[in-house]
Amino acid sequence: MDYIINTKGLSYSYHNGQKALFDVNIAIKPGEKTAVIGSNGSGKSTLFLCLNGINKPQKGDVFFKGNKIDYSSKGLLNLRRSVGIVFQNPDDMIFSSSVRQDIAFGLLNMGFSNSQAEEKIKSISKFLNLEGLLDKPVHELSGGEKKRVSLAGVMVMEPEVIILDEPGAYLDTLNAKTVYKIIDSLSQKGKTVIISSHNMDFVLNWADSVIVLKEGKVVFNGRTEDLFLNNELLNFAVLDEPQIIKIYNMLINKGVIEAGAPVPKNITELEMLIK
Amino acid sequence: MINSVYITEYIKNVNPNIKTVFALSVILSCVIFKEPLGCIFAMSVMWALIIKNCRLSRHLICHIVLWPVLFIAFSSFMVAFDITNYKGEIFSFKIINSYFLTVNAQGAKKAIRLFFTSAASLSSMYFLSFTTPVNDVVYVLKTIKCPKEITELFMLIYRFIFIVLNMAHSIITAQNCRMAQRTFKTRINAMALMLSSVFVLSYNKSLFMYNAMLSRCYSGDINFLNEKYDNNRKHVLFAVVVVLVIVLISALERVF
Repeated sequence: MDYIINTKGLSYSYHNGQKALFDVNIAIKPGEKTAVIGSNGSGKSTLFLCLNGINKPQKGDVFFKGNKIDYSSKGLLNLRRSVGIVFQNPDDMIFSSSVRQDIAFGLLNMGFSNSQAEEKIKSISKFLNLEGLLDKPVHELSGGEKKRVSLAGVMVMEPEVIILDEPGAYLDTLNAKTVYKIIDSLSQKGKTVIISSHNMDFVLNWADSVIVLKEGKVVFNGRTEDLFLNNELLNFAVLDEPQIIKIYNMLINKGVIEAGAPVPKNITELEMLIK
Repeated sequence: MINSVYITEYIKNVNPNIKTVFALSVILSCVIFKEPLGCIFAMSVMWALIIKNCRLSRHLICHIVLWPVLFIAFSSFMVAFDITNYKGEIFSFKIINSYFLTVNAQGAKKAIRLFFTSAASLSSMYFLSFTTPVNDVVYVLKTIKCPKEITELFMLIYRFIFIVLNMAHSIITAQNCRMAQRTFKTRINAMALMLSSVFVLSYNKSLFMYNAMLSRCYSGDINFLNEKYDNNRKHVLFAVVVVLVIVLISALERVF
């Protein structure tokens, strides 16, 4: 099977000797929606930095479209054109003086001309509702706006794979919903999206497959429903059960629905199941 | 604070090179002639432009102008004084034996000239600061072929000012919640802790930011998007006329 991105025996330790990833083997298909979950310090962000070529693993390899990552500057530039990453804290991503300049950063690095960059900025700002903010200094943006600007800076580069490190972090419910909608739209466009999240309801509803990390090791890699029906694994990886699954299990126990009924991913599916 | 001032689309679209050259020419003509009437005219034009094109509250104007003007006034006032062994024309105060603290006509004139020249230059700088957002400054730096490293450094320093201020503010708030201001000793201790934390945090922040830049194909150069500006001849003409009027008023004042 052809994978867009996969790792083989990936291990990574930081300079201070702290081991972050051990023998990580993952494989993600093109267009797949993958969630990487795990408690804080489990290695999610380190894995993402390895997938983007920022962290070079001490052992093992990362492959993009079947080819081993070339860590020469040219090779890394090529990889980063195709694999975009949105960091957890938008303040880490935004460094230009204005929103327009920040969104343009990646495009100009990729060699787009000013007019081409302007065209793309116009289009992405319309899509992310940033049109009125383009000339605003970045320090005046709200948390939600900063998140959308950081997303715009990566999305405008049109990478094939988009990695989002805890996209809902630092956001209120409304802004988080907006960001989740944007992530949905990316998947609908056929992009391969990889996210990390602590919002298990979102993961259940959105992801096709889940990778669970615990202390730098992959402890589960498979279908979302299979993970959330496995209480033992959830407890082992210190993960929450989604609300929908809790209700689903309760309804099975009370005999409202039959055991083995398809696992609902959201309220609508649960309602359908009860009917 | 200056950065968040609303400026009209009209002045925003004026080529920043014209604005910069205009402000610098006004400063230069005021400094060369040092004639109060010329400086008063320059100040009037600059503040008229600021008030017309920037939405400033009275409070903000007072807040921004008060301290620099007081500083200029105090410094100029001091220039008027001299220590002599004879009595001054305007003012004299015996200090010791035959020495006097005096103010002569020449000293007073010098102080007045210094005050108006500084105030006019300050007004021009305010005009430039209010009407030229940081992107425009980058544009000007690029136009004068400033080394790229300086332009990049300027932009990153500008961004980090706000990041560091935010960090410091959060830390001070957290410290105050835990009675850091209780005594002089705790206050000093809290400040030292805050400064060291800000240093370490900003270093970490710069590492994260560098990673973010790398992930967006950064390869050593920060490229800037060229902004488009209105190169209207009227603006150039206006700037030339204002500078010529300042020169003319100053020259006439000097002659008569």
